[in-house]
Amino acid sequence: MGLDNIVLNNGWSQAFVGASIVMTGLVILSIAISQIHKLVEFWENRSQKPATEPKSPSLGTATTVDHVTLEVPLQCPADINQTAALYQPLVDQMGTPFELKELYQRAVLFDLPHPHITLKCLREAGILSPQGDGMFRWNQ
Amino acid sequence: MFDLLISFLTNTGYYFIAQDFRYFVMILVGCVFLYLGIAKKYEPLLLVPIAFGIVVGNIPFFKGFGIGIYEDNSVFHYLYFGVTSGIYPSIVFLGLGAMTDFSSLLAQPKLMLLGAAAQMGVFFTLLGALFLGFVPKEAASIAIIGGADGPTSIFLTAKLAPHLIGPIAIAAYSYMALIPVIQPPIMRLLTTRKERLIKMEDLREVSRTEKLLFPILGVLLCCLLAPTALPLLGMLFLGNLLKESGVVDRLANTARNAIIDTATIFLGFCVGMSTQADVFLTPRSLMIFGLGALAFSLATASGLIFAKIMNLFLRHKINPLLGAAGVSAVPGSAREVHLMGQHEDPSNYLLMHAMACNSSGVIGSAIAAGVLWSFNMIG
Repeated sequence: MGLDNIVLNNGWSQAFVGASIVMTGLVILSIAISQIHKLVEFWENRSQKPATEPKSPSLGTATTVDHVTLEVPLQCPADINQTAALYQPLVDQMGTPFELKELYQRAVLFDLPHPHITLKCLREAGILSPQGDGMFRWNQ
Repeated sequence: MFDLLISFLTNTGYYFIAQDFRYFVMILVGCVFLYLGIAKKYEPLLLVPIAFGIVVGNIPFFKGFGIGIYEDNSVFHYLYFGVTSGIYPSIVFLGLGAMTDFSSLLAQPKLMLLGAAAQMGVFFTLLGALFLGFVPKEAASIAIIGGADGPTSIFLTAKLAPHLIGPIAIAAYSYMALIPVIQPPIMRLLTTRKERLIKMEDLREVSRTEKLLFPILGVLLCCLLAPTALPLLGMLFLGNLLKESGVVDRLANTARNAIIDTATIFLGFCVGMSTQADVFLTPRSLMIFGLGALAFSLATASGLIFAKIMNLFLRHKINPLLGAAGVSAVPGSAREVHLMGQHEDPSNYLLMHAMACNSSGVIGSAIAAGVLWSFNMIG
């Protein structure tokens, strides 16, 4: 019992080495996953390289290169009401107020595009209004 | 005839309860847990089977009939084998993997560090348990309660100190159910209002390829480092690969519905049954509950403090409340972080970020369990 028991059973080393291993493991994993999207992007660009190579420019014309953009939209849709109409049936099924998490899960379930960004836009547009305690109301 | 009647009466549960009131105490505990699970809806999926298991497991009986969970060849003993061998926790991890969407973690990998930081509570508690005189294998089993992961706690205890499965499992699941009571005061104590108001940057969209590569990378990187975590992490990442591959939806659906539900029923019920009063109500159990609460609190505090330390170096500050979600109690602690963020500012939406910390906590606690297991096998 007491500090002697910790020393006797190599407790300090176990705690220090154990904590270090867990931290190291997750740091390595986090570094690895932070690079995945770069690798994926690199790989996909690499396979598209022949298609994006510029054609030999003809005299007197400007050279244009078509970039294939694979990024997801980071902006809200131009017509937020149209997007809201897509979500309306899901909200109707849930009643009011509802949990945002549930709406998100339903949006994923029904394969609605970019649910996370869309929900953010709906909130910014005031269509989704927070009621506190994680509950939301649909204002349309 | 009278002798026969007396003999029968002395074999009834009523007689045994009159002889040893501890069974009655445990039945009451089971009823309280049933109330919390059904009426208060505290983690009902776990608490209801556990609580009913406590009630059933504490109906005293005449030893030797092959009825009880600790008696050879009884039905319950065979069901309990799934606990003591670590089968049920592995199966639960399969289902958990098939349920979990790691997108938020992939979008913000730095949040994974909070899942690692919260595991420091495990190692602080290891020292505490050794200090109180537990032998290393018991101390490791108690410490893993700080991981706030029921199946992981049961798995490690089954491997290192099977005689403590009852109290450790009950402590782990009780504290998971009591997250709304335990975590908020610690969160408020260790953060300022200004910190709680920090809004997180939006998560980027994660591609399907990333989600597909994650379980493969995860199992390779984590399990090559700590192979003893394979029974848990191997199954977790298998479940996630089934989900993300998109070509085996039937298997993924079965894993996240029927399989995990079946395992949860048997795991919960057997753990409840293992709390037979004569082996459960001991001073050591009380010490385990105390250390479990300490482990859980330290894990929460470690995550919060680490998040504040990270903020010293980050340009875009993170909300330190997220550190509390580094414990792997999915999704209870994430929900609690989100609710506290919303309490301060209803437009602050932390749930998805907190889920990232939560899922890294699951991975972190499984690695911690693997590390503790290997230390004790080497030692």
